Formats: sequence, structure tokens, C-alpha cells
Amino acid sequence: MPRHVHMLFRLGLWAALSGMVLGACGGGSSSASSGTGAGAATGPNVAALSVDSFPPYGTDSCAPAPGCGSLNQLYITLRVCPHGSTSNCQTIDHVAVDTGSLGLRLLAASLRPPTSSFLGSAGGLLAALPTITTTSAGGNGTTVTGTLAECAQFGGGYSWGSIRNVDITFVGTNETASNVPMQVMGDMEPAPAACVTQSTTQYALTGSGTNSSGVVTANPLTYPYLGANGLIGVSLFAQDCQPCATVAQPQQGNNTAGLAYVVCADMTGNHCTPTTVAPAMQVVNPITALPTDNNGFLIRMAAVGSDGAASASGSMIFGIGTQANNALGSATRIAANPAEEPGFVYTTYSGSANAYGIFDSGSSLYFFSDASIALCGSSGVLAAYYCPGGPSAKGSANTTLNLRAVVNDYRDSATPSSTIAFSVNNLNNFTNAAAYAYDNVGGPGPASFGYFIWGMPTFYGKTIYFGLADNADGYAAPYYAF
Amino acid sequence: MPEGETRMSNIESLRPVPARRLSARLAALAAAAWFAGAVPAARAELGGNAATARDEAQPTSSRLQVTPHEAYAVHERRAADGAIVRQYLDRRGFVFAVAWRSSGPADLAALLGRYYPTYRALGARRIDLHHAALHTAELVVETGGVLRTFTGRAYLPRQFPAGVDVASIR
Repeated sequence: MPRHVHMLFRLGLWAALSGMVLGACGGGSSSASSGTGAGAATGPNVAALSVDSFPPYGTDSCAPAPGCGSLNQLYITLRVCPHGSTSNCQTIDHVAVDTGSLGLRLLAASLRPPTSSFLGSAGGLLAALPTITTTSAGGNGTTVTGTLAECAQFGGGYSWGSIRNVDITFVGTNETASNVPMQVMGDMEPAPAACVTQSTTQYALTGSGTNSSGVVTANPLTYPYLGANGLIGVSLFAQDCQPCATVAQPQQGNNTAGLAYVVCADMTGNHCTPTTVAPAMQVVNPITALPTDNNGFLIRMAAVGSDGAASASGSMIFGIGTQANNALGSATRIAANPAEEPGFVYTTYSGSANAYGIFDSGSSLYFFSDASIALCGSSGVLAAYYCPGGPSAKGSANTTLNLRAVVNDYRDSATPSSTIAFSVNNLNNFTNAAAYAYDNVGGPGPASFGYFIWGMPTFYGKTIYFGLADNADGYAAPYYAF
Repeated sequence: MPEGETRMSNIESLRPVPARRLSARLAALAAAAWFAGAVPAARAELGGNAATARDEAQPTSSRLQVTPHEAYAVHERRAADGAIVRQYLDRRGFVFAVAWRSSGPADLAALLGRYYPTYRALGARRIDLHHAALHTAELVVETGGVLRTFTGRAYLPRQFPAGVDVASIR
């Protein structure tokens, strides 16, 4: 069996080989080496992070699963309670930390008592969380009174479900965000047709399993395909849809299928109409809702070896310059675009200045354009990954690329700037069959408009600061620092 | 334009929907006018043709900027609200690639045109939370969506003009 097939298993890219995937992702523990390196932080403002194999939920197998033991998916553990209550609280592990989106979104299936059915049984935290009843405003002429819900588009699927308010504690810390609007994913099925048809991945309203090409036909942002119990989006901003405060279903250009917040007549997506939503009712960045240590955070990850690691540990440290353990120190601040293209910075690579770059823990690879690097295949899933030296090469010097790029601020001003060294390895070089954390995997992604995503591989062995917009420390723009 | 005519006939033989009703003379005229930026806007969608039509997939209230290259041209429209669509036309005006960026999810039906059903039938694979891709010998679609900015490109690998590679689509 070619080496790259082994790598596919580790990537969770089961494809047509889903029957063999079980062995790769069924084990929650592994004897393979863990990452080591950066020292762990301690303190009441420090939560533990990990990259590991996410075990299947309940008794369901995880195949065929794009998110089964996800490659480079960063996790945190939260304790979630109904607002103002200590009853029905639930500790939820394996919530994916995503610096490329905004807001807490938890799978309905993970908020119910687990049973042999993946949807769980009635009761539990979900039953204790009231939905929000409101009347639509600013929509398309139809006024609906009912349940507030949202369709949030991700590049790899869509998040659909109701909005509910919760209290969130980052486990292991004294940091609690109170009365935070979050989204329940999958409690109002089926999703509205407009939410489905604009998704990049979905092509069947009620699809499940895989099609004849091995492609998952269900929305990847559902159980069990998500590979997590939910997402916590902690990008540099406060609300997930600023334009939604004044415009129902904001559009841009010719994107007429837009759908964001809606009010639904019943607990399905069948009778919903777009609505404006006041900022205070929108899904918010939980960091901004903390009483202190709310101006930003640090992500510090242990390093992993060039052959990957079964797991990697790290810390999420809340606040910047608010405690002894989160001082900016000598880190270089790189201002991120506060407005039109929010959160983006310039990355100059191989002579090209790329305007659309972020530090995104929700991206599993370095995504950047370099036509001189061979892809792992010409079609199918392998074509999304770089294989330096060629699709069947391994071992030789040219199958490991040591690269560097210069990051500077969103105005493309030359200073301050910071040079980041990174590696892209041919998948064929990897031998660790149980690894999920890699600091040396890349692909072209959409490769247009200067797209340069510093994905999760960037984070290992580093501390990266995320300074939020409108922060209280006197720095004008949101920023990254490292 | 003897060189241009040769190139056109090569490409025409690869096209799924032939445009043989165009005489070589008309095609040459169209190509010449297109390079001058004088042809009415081509269809934005993949597989569209400058000779056939109107602009259903373009951002509204946008302006056209044409950047000619030796074997192809880029037609870019940038809407007042920032959405951008680029189409890549060969010398006959056939759209062999499109690229886009906007603050909302792209209208893939409009961008992919008659290749949209193929895209939906085959399905894109999720790479991670923010990326999905479809790679076949006929059609490639690569998309990304982070922080309310959605970027993508789609192209027809077998329809590239001679000497033009994927790195040009960016």
C-alpha cells in the first residue's frame, strides 16, 4: 500500500476506503509520541488545549467521517450552564477552537444525554436552554413570530440552528462569560433550502453517508462529521454579523442567496424569514463577554516533530497585558484589517504580497499558492495537498521544503514585520500511523486573490497573541503578535 | 491573425459545446475586438462565451477592467461593495476559469454555469472547517471561507490555452 494512503487515514480522509478507516480513528488513545516543547502556562486565566484523535461519540462508528480524529483540530473543554442557573450544567470536551470564525456553536447531539442513538435522548442541557422568541424585522415582507435561528456559512459547510443564551466557563480557569448568545447546531432540521444551496459542500437536502465518489453528502458541520462537540469561534471581533444589525440577510455583489439570522414559525427550517438582529442578541465572541482578561488571548502550543505527533498540548491564556502570564513583552504586533476585509494581514511569500492572510486555528494546513510545489495527485482528495518532489517521491532532500514568509500589517506597510519559517513535507515521508498533529502540511486552497492562511501547523512551538478589536489597551486595530 | 486562428481551432476541438457556426473570420474579428476591450461583457460563468451573452453572474453596479495577456485575458469586475469576480477568457472569448471573493458565500450556480450540476452531483470534499475542494480531470473547484470573506476559483483543466497554467488563476 502506498505511503500516501496511510497518510490519508491519518488525515481522516477515508474516501472510498472508509471500511478501513475504523482502525485509524477508533482508538482514542495511542502509544505514539506526544508533542513536546513550549512550556505549559499556569494560572487562573489559563485553559488547556489539545490536538488529538477525537473518539467517536456514543456507540456510533466514526466512519465515514471527515472529522474523525481530525487532522490538526484544536480542542478546548467548556462548562456550559443555562444562564443564571447551576442546574443542568454540562462539561463539554473537544470543542474546536477556531480563530477563523466567531461565536460558540455546539452540536445538539452533544447537549443531550448520550444513548445508542446519536441524537441522544430527551432532557439534558439542551432541554434546559430556552429558545428566543421574537418577531422578524427588516425582512422580505413576510413577518414571522417564532424562534430566532441562524445560518452561518463556513468554507467547509454550514452551521444551522437556534440561538440560545448560556453561561460559559473555561474549564480549569476562573473565566466565566455570562449570558452569552450561542448557536445550537442541528436542533431545527431540516435547514432552510437557502442555507443548504449556498453551502460549498452540500448538494442534497437530506443527504447522509457518502456518495459513489466517497464524498460525504451530509453537511460536514453536523454530528458526527464535525469531529468535535462544537466550535468556539474566537476571531478578532465581537459580533458574528455586524451588518445584520441593520440589514436582514446582508448581501454582497451578486450573492443573492444570502441568509444569516432568521425567525422560524416552528422548530424546523421550513418556515423562516430573514431578520435584523441587535448586536446584543447576536452570537458573540465569548472572550469579549468575560468580565476581565477580555482584550485578547494567547495560544501557546507545544512543538511537534517532523513526523507528526499523536497529540499536542497547549494553553489558551486569557487577556493580554492583564496578568503576569500574558504580557506582550517583546512580541511584534501586526495590525489586522479592522473593517473591509476583517482580520486579514499581508504575507509576502516568494516575491508576492498576499493580502488575505490570517492566523487560523480552524484551518488544518498552510494554504498558499506556489505553482512550483507538486500536488499529491491530479484529481480526487490528494489534489488538495502539496507533495514536494512529486506525488510518489519520498525521503529525498527535495521532499521537505523549508520556507519562509514575511507577515506585515493590513496596510502593507513595511514595518513592523515578522518573518515566519515553516516547512511543507511530502505526505509520503510520514510514517506515524497514529498522528494527528502536523506542523508541516500544506495545500493550495483557493489560491486566488492573495490567499495565504497560516493554519494550525503554524501554531506548534509558538505563542501567538490575538488582540481583539476595540480592545482596552489603547492599540487602535485588532492585531496578531508573536 | 494566423497564429490566433491556429490557437482557436485547437481549442475549439476540445470544447464540449462547439461554436463552429462562427466562421474563422468572425472569430478573428471577435478576438481582435476582445483584446481591445470593445466586446460587450462576456458571461461570467465557467464555460460561457463572449459571443453568446449577457452578464448574469456579475456583481451589480460594477465596472469592467480588462487585463490582456498573450494567450488569455482577465475580465475583472469589482462591485462598489467590494465583491470581485474575475473571468479568464481564451482568445476566442471562452471562459476557462473564474475566481471570486466576497463577504458572503458565492453564488456558485451563477459562477459555475452549466458545470454547476456536475459540481453538485460529484460534491466537494471538506478539507477542514473553512475549506472544500473538488478535483476532477474536467472540473476543479476550490473554495475557502474565513472571517466572512469567501474566496474561490474554478477552472476547466482541459480547456486551458496552450502555455497557460493553473498558477495564472489567482
